[in-house]
Amino acid sequence: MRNDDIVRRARSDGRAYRDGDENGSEDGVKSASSRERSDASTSVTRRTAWFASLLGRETARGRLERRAAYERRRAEAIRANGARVEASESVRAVAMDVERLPSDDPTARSVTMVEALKRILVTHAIGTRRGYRQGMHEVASAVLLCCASAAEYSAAPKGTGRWEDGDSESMAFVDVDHGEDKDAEAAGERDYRFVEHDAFAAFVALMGDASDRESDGRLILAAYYEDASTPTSPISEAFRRINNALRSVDAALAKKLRDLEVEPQLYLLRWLRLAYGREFHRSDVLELWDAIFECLPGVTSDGETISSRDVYEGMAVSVLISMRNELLSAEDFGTAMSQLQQVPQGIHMRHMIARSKAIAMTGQLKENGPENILTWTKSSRKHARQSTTVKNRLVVPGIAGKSMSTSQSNDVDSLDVEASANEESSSVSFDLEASYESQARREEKISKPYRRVESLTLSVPAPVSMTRTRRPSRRDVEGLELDSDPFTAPIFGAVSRQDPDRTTNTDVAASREAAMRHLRAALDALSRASSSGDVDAGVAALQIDTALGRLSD
Amino acid sequence: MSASASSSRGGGANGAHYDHLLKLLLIGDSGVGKSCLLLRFSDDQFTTSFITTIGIDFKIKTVELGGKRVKLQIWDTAGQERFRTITTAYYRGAMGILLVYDVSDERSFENVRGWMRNIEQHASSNVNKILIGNKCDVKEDKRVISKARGQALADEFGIPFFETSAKSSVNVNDAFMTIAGDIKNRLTGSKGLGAPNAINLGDRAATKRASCC
Repeated sequence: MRNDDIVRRARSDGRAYRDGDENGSEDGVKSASSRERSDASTSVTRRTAWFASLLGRETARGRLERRAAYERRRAEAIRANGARVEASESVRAVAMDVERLPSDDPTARSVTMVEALKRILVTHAIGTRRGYRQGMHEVASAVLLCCASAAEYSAAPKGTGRWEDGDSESMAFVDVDHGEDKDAEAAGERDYRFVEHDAFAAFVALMGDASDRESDGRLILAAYYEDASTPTSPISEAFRRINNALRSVDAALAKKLRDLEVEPQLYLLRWLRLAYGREFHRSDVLELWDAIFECLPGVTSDGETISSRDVYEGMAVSVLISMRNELLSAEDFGTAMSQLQQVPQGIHMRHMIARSKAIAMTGQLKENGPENILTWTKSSRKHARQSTTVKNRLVVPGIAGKSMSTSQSNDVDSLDVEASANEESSSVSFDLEASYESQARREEKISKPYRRVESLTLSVPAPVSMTRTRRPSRRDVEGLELDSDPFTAPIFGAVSRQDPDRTTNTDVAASREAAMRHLRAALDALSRASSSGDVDAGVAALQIDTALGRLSD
Repeated sequence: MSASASSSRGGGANGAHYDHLLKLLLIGDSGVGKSCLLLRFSDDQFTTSFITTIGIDFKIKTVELGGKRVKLQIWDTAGQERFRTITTAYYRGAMGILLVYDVSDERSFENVRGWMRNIEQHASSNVNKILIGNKCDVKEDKRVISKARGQALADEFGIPFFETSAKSSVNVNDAFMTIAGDIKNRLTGSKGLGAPNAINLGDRAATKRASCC
C-alpha cells in the first residue's frame, strides 16, 4: 500500500478505524497512519495464524470452495427461514443481538459488519441442531473483525467493503462478480471479497459440533452453548472438570466457593460461551485467543501434546486464582458473586496463559476429580522408561499426597524434605525424599516404574514482590527448561528422579526437623509477601503450610 | 441452606450492615429491558448501547424499608434461557420475581404466560411476583400493549402491575420497592411481631424448601 493511500484512508475511514479520533491535523494523521500500519500488520499475522489453526493450510482453491459452501448454505438458510418456525426464531434473536454488541469497537458495529455478521449467524444457526444461541454473536463478531482488519481495502472499488456507518453497499462482501473466478484464484488471502466467507468458515470451525465426544481434547465452543440442566451435557462436564482442577490446584479456594454455594454455572457460562471475551481488555482477549488457537492442532511448539480444550478451561481456573485473595475474604455469597463479575484489572495475560497451559499440561482437568496431588504427565512416564535421570513435572499443591490420595499409584508413606533458601537468587528450593513403601508392597499387583525411594526436587517460586523488577528468565534445571515465571512455577515444579541406592536415609527424624525449619522460614517469607498483596506467594505459602501440617503429623 | 440464606451475617468489614437479605429475579423475554431496569434501579443510569446478558448478571443494592436496612440481591437473567440451562440454580431461594415484558413487543407480552408456568415449576410456591410492562416511554404508535391489557393480566394472576421506563426513569424504583416491601411483609408478618432478622429469614427459606422437596 502506498503511503498516500494510507493517509487518504486514515482521513476517509478515520471513524471506522480509530475510536472517535476526529483529529484532522497533519500530526494526527501521521500518527494515525503509522498506528494503522502496525495494526494492519498485526491483523494480517493474526488472521494467518488463526486460519492455519482453524482451517489448515490456506490455498486459493480452498478459498473458492469455502465461498461456494457458504453460498450454498446461505441459500438453504433463506429457504428455511420462510418454512421453519425455529429458523425464524433464530433470525429474530440474531437481529436483536447484533444490535447489542459491545461498543468498544466502532468498526464491529458499522452497518457493513453488522449485516455480514447477521448473515453469518443465521446461516450457521439454520444449519445446526441448536440454532442460534445468545453469545455466539460476540464470538462471530470477533472472528469477522479479525478477517476484515486483515483485508486489503485499497483494492476495493469505491463504495464497497468499507466499514463506514450508513454504507449503502451493505452487501459489499457477497455482491461480487462470480464470473471472475480466475481473478479470485489469483487473489491473496487478504482480498476483501472473501472476508465474509472466510469468517463464516472460521466461525463454523471454531464452534464445532457439540455432539462430537471424540474430539480428542480439541476445543469445541458449541459444547458450552448446550443446556446445563442435565449432568451429562457437555457444559456440565466442563463445569465439573474446572471445579476438579480448581480443587487440585487450590483446594482452599474451591472449598470457599463451595461453602458460599457459588456454583460454577453462575459465573462460568459467560466466561466459556464468550471465550472470556468480556472478562478482559480487548487486546488481552486477542492475546488469549492467539494462545488458545495455537493449541488447536494438539501440540505445542516444543512438540508436546496439549489439549486446546484443557487450556481453554484451565483459563477459568487461572481467572479464579487471580482473584483468590478477594474470594477468600468474601464474607458471603453476594460479595463473591460480585467479585466474579469483575476480573481484576492489571492482570498480565502472559502469566494467565502460562498458568492455563500449566494446568492443562499437568492433566488437572478431569471429570472424575483430582485423583492425586502428585500427578505425572504422560510424557514423563514415557521418559521414565527411557532414562534413569528424568526430569518430571510435579503438581505442587500439598507437595505430597498422603492424606488426600486415594489412588494407588502415588501414595507416599513418608516425606523427607531438605530445603534451602537462597537469599541472593531470591529463590527457595526443596529436595523432597518421598518413600513409596506401600508402592513396593503393591508392586505384585500393579506394575509401575516407580521404586521405593525417590528424590524429588521441587522448585517453589520466589515471591513475586522480590522478582518483579527483574526480567523473567528461563532457566535450565537439570536439562529441563523450566520457566521461572512465578505465576507458573507453583504448578510446574521440576522433579528429578535419582538412583534409589544413592539416596541417603540416615536419620529421618533429624532431616525432618531440618526440613521443617527450612519450610517454616520459607513460609514466613512467603506470608510476608502474601500480606503485601502477592497472590501467588499466598498460594505457595498455603502449599508449604499444608506440607508442614503433614510433616508434623 | 440456600445461597441467600447463607449470607446471614449482617455486619461486614465495610460496615454494610443490614437487617434483611432478599433475593430477587428479573425474568422475561430477550430484549425487554431487564438489564436496563436493573441498571436504572441500582446505579440510576441508562445506556442505549446495552449488551446482551449471557448467563446471569448480579447486583446488590441496600435500601431502607420501614426503618430497616434491606439488602437486595438481584439476579438478572438472559432472556433466551427460558425453559433451559440454569433454571434450578436461578430460582433456588428466590423470594421475589419481577416478570418483565416490553409494551412495544406483542410477543414478549404473550410469553408472560409461559414465564408464569416456568415460575410455578421451579420457584417456591409462595414467591412474590410482580408484572412489569417496560419501555412505557415509547411513542403511542409504537406501543402495542395497552396499560389496561397489562393490568388485566396482572389481575388475573393476582399480582401487582407497573408500567415502567428505564430510559425515562418512570416507576422503576417503585416497582422494586413494592416487591421488596411485599416480601418483607410476607416473611415478617407470619413471624408475628418478634424482631425479624436475616437469620430468621434464611432459616425459614431453608425449612420451606426442605419441606417441599
